Amino acid sequence: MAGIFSSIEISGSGMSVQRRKMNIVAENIANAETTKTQEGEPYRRKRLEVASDADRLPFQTVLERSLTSLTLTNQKHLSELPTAMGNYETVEKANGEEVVTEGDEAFRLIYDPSHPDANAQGYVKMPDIEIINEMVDMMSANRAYEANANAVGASKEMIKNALDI
Amino acid sequence: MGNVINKAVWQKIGVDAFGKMLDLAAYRHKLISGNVANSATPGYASKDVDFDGEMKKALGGGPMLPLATTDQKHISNVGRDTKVKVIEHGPESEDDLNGVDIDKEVTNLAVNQMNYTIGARLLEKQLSALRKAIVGR
Repeated sequence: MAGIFSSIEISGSGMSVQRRKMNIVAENIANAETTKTQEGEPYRRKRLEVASDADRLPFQTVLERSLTSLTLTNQKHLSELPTAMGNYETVEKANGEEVVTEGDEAFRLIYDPSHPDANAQGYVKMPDIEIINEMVDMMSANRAYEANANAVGASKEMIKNALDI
Repeated sequence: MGNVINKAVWQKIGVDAFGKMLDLAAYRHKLISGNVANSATPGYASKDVDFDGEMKKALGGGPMLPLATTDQKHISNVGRDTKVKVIEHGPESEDDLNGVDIDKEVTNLAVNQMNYTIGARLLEKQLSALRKAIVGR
């Protein structure tokens, strides 16, 4: 769906990324003291890597482009035949990917010989999670979610205005 | 007949111009929504359009001279310079995560929404005036 409805979709992609961020923060905080997971090692901190993701071109545009393949070899050449959305470039959505901290950097050593997971020297491997960092991440995700929700509200208001014409 | 009506009625009340305005505002809204959605994306360049400039371009017909099409296979250049130019704004320094300034985006969002509302309301008024003229009361 082109036009103003797709702007809701774009804001939605942003909201979904922020919500996943919140989930991951919650998981990190909940597991801040987990010394043994199913793999047998301490919990590794997770984070969300966000990247922009180009809006996929509609089928019609792709078909028309492949049918009318005029090459532009000079600046003064005219571009291909205009399509319905030809005057506008596509807009990028946000997309997140879960990343787990690799290697031994994910752990911090704490001296506690009585702990069942302690090694021969009496040190326990704990997940390297700073509650403060997680809180800051949570707050920024919260605010970004709000901004996206506002954008959706504006889209809805605009659609309502268009229907009043 | 259709041409006469087009000139005497629709162009006069500016349906075309308002349509362009709403189109452009909707597109700008999409760009701003994309910026807000990508406010946490590293290296993302924020996108915007020059609303006033694009409106002028759309209404003025563009700087290109129209090419005559005397053969069926000729390509017309009318309406080809209408591609909307997107202004990108990348991160300013290495400390910046990306080029999105959330305060600016939210302000632009509000202003653009107002532009859209103005366009829609004015068009509505024009059409209801036309309707009144037709009905006569």
